Amino acid sequence: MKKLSTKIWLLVVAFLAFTVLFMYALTNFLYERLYVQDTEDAMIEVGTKLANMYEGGKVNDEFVADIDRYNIYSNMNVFAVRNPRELSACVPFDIDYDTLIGPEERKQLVKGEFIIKQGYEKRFDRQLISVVVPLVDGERLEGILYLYFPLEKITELASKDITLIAVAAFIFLAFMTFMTMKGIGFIMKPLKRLQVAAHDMAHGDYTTRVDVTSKDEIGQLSETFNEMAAAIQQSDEQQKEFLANVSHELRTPISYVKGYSEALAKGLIPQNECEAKLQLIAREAERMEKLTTELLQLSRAERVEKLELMPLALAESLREALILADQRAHAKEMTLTLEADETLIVEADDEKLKQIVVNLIENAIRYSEPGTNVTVRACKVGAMAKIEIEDHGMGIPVEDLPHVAERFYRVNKARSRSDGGSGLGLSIVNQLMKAHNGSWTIESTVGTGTIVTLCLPLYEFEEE
Amino acid sequence: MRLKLLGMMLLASLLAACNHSTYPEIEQQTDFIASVNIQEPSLDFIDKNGKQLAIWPLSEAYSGATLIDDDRILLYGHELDHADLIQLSTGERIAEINTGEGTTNALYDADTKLVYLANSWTNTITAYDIDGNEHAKQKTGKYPMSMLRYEQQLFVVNFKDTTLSVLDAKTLQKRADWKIPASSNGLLAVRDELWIGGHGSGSTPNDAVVRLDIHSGKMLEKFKLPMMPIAFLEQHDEIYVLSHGENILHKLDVHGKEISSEEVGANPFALASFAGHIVVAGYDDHKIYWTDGTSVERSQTVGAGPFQLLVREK
Repeated sequence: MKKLSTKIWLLVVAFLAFTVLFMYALTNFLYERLYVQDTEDAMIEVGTKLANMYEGGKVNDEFVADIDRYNIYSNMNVFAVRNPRELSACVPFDIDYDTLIGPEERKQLVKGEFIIKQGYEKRFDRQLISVVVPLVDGERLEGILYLYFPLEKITELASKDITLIAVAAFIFLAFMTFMTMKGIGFIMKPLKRLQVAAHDMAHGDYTTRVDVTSKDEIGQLSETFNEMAAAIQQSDEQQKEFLANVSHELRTPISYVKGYSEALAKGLIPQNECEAKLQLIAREAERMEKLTTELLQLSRAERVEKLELMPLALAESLREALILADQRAHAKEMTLTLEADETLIVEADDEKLKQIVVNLIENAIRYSEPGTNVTVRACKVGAMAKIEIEDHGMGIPVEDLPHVAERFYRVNKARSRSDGGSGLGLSIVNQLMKAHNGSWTIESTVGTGTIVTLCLPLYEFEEE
Repeated sequence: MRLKLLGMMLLASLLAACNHSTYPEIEQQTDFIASVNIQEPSLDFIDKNGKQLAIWPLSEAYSGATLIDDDRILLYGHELDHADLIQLSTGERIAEINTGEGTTNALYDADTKLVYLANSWTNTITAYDIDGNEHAKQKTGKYPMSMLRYEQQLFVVNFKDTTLSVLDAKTLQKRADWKIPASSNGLLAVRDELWIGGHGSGSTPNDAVVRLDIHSGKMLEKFKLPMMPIAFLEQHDEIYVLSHGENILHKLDVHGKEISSEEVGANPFALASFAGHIVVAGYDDHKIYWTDGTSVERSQTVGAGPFQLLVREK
């Protein structure tokens, strides 16, 4: 009972068996209703007509003979009874004799009503349908007409062929059982394939795929499975690449720190260069610290920490972000400009919003020539606040634009170390914007500059 | 307080259960004929002009009744374990006789002042005085039913037996057992003969009246009288016999020779002489028929299933 196909198969077979039984019962029921009712109606009609021949007074021999004659040619059995003993005439007295009609039936007959009986009759030792029609003169029950017909059950009718019917039913059931089993096997084949593929995947084979042979639910399931497998494979590859990148990024500063510190310890560095080397060690350590800090930030952003969303004056937050980035701009002799609509109120986490903007301004500063300007603008577009950070730097080639949010992705691989970026800034921006229910885009022209556009939902004031 | 109330309610319900219904009074001086109806037990009291004096609806399954002297009626039932003695002039019950189930018939004899009750369960005849005290008891054949007191003897027909028990009317001591046909019912003393009717046994209806020598019990030649003669009445040397199988009231002379016959009622079981009429009760049509012995004069409807007719006529 572990296999689904076995369960379905058993269910279908049970339904089939039930259907066979139901058909049997229905046939029996129809027999009772139609055949029995029809016979009953015919007997009532004949009985009533024959009773019309009775003209009152004593039931005479001639009448009895007429009824007997009719009985010879009729397919139903009919006889006249005029013996008061048979008609329960002595009933107030205790009679030890099984009469043809009972005392209650006699009461009914005296009133001129006919009686319909169905069931076992001891007198005839079989199942009967019988109709008793009274022969009444005034209020005297002079006799009765007793009509009866053997009530053969359908099983009795078919008793000769019962073996044949049973064998046929059995063969039919066996054949249907076999066909159902085959049919279910055919239907279940893709499911089996899916199960094998899922098993392979669970054991680390992310390249596994299933053939989609149909468009039904199982076909759709197979397609979804393939999509899922592709997504998992991609995620796995990204994970591996990420780890390789992290190792790579850390290895260079570590080798610097290790090499120079060993050389210093062994006195291999001339005295006059010692300070410069120590500064180099400190710079590389700082770089490592920055990298690990950003990794931590990214990890937190990906885990979608609960943001403390609150209404914020956007211009104020942007101004503070500019102040944070100002020192760096100053160092590169660059200027920062803010053009913001002072009325905008956004729903955001203050700290995270500033982190986003600072990240983007630092990126802009990093990839711009000294003496250029970075402009931050903010305005309202529909229910959103639009923030633009525009620089006049080197720009990003079109083919790289879709990948800039990937971790450790660098446009210029060769400049990875010298530009001072970790390759995580835009990944963090991407995660934080998602957490704010916002969106962002990047446009760039090589040699001209880059514009990053952020869209954040405006705070909705509740109407009083 | 609640307990007290509960006790009172219990007492009230007990009293209600014990309280036998009181029937409408029947004036002591009025002659009547009463039909004992057993399909839905009731008594119809009718005066000589056919006027209904009273109807007693019976709450128990009584199957028969007999008058005791002028002012008492004994009601008994085959399925009841007791018989009730009711005073007609007050309609109140004056005694209950513990008969045990199976009472088939009761006969009151004014000479001995004894009521004889036949019981089909114990196959006994028990004699009680008019206050319901047991006087004597005697075992009979199977299913004693029809009874007739003749001189110092009580004749008892055993319905499911082939014997007639002859008992002493006072002591109930058995004097003889005479041979008769099974399912015999109804008997009458005619001169020195005892006439016995019956239903017949099995599916064969009886169509004859059996005659016995009333002193020796010797079987005399029976005479044909179809179909199922079961009730007899003698009046002015004329014998009336009721054949319920053919609904015929026969009028015979004392030798059994038919004088006339008339179709009366539907399945009649009882006949009686009252106010110069022969009255017949039709069990199936719930009517009593007033006849002059040869033809029906009038009929009137009574309760369902009149089975016995009781007459008080001074």
